[in-house]
Amino acid sequence: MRTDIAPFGIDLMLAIAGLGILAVAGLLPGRLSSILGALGLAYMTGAAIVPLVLAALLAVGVPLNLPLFTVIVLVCAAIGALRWRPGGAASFSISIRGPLASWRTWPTDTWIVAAFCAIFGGYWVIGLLSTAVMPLNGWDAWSIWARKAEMLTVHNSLIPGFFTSPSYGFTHLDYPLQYPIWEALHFRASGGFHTQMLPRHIWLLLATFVWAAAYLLRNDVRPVIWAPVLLLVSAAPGVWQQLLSGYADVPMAMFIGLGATALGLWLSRDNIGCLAVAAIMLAAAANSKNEGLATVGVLFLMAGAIAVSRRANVRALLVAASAVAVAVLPWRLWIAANGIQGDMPVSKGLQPGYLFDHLERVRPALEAINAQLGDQSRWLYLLPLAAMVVAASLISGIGRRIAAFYLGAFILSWAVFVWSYWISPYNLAWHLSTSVDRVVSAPMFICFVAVIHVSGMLVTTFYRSLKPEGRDSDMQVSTF
Amino acid sequence: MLLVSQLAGAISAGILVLVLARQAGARGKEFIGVVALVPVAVAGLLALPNVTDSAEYLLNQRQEDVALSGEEAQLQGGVLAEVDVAFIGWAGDHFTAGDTFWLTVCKGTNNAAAFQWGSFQLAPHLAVENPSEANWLIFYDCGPARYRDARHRGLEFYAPGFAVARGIDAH
Repeated sequence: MRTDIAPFGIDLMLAIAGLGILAVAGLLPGRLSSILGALGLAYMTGAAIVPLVLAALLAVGVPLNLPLFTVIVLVCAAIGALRWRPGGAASFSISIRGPLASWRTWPTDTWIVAAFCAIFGGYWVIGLLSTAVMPLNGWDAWSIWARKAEMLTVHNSLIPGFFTSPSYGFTHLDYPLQYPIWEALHFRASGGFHTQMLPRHIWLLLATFVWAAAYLLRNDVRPVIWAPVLLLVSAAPGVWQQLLSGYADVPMAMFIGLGATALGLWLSRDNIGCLAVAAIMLAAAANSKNEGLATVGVLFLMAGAIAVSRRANVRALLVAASAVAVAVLPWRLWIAANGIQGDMPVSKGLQPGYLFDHLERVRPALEAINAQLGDQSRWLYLLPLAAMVVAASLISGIGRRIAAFYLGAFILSWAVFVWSYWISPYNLAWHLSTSVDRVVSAPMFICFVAVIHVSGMLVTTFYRSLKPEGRDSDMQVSTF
Repeated sequence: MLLVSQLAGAISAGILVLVLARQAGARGKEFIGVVALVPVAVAGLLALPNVTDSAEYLLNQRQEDVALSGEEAQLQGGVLAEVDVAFIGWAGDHFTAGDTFWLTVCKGTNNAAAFQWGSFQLAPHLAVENPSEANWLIFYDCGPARYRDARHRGLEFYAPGFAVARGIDAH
């Protein structure tokens, strides 16, 4: 019983911590009935920030345990409770007039949201039934992530016999600990190292990602746009199959996607709360894998370029980027102090001579990455659709800078991955065969949010051009 | 080339929609927003069939997995990696709390799998690089020459080539 039920208590506590953080960021609705809508984003925020804090504390020698986890959650919740102001308009609720209002009076948006919840909910429940008995079979899932999680479950510190031992070099000792800490919290709650327990909580991430994305974009994108696109994203084999492999790539990409969304919203609305959420999500991504760190750098670079062009609050962006850097610093300092080095010869990768000597690696890397991006059996045409709406935005000027942000972030992250294969010390064929299908996840999640956000801006402008004199009653629904 | 053609096709589709809208009398830059209806329509078209396919796959997967016991599920990764999980479990039964081990994988084409899974299955016991520092020595698919020096250490066989021996301070 404890094995199955108790880990969901960890999920609940992560959501509570996230609610507190969202309240501080000013993104939590003032009505209790509307807080349900924010739960997905709250969970992702808690799953981002709590392991971040635990990782930093581990790096300075503070033991990892459930009481400490509880204290962190309570602190987040308490700060949020002090900051939260009840009342205000419902910002995320189904608008039903009266307790027994006829369903015939439901606005269109409500119908769409209800249909989405029914379809996605049914799909997710089926996935839960499958993950309830699913073993953790993915190679890296057990060899790297669950192995580190087990060490953090049995021990409450970064024991040298494992975390600095050459015997375990194959586990990429330089990889940050965001994902293993999240897993270890669930293992600790379950009372043991039961790997079969994990896939159902990994599956929960799909629901909370979709929920979080819809909530973040609720004021900018109508349900008629985000609902089918998010449904398609959740059904893409490149998303759910990879997620259930137990590898860290898709969870990291989810943080990337939400961070990119929040950054895009900050760029379009100058909402500091969105910038804060972006910083938290991107810090978690950077603390998940080294690829996450690279992609986060790209996102901030593009956001900075757009912010300068829009004369936006660049100082706030610099503060956010600095906060992310501070968040990942403890781990980086710890591995440096313990003599742990990564695989990638980054300094050599900036030397023209080294790059020229390995030029023959570029074309195969390009072809392999592009083949993965073009594999629509995995990604269901979301990349070509993103190209379409981004092109329309750039040409029309509607949301041009936001589209340019997503486009630039996608292209630069793609370039970073080509470069990483270029400079990699591994046999190229082996390296590509074991990783290229996964590294494209992060840029693809940028692509997903681009489709939704940019389409939302285009359709809103188009709709307003058709009805310039005002909005009809159908549009006066509180959007989901 | 495939990716390039897909991107070109998508942009061409967008242009066609714009041409249609212009021919219908739409004017001004706002009408370009009509292109965004295409992803919505395509997503709507593709989402349900893919949700159905994915759900069916998950249900079929459950049918396979539900037959596994908890212990079998815990070892499934090693079974799929073609590692002798029973031998690893047998070796681990010799350990007491805190024991370390030195695992050597001698033959076979899947040495990395055997070492990685073996060390995973034996966790939280820790692997060491130097056999002189290990409480237990584990020989995985090794010839006699490999464990000759361990014969005086209580060498115990699970099967030919698969054995454990006592290292330092092992009981």
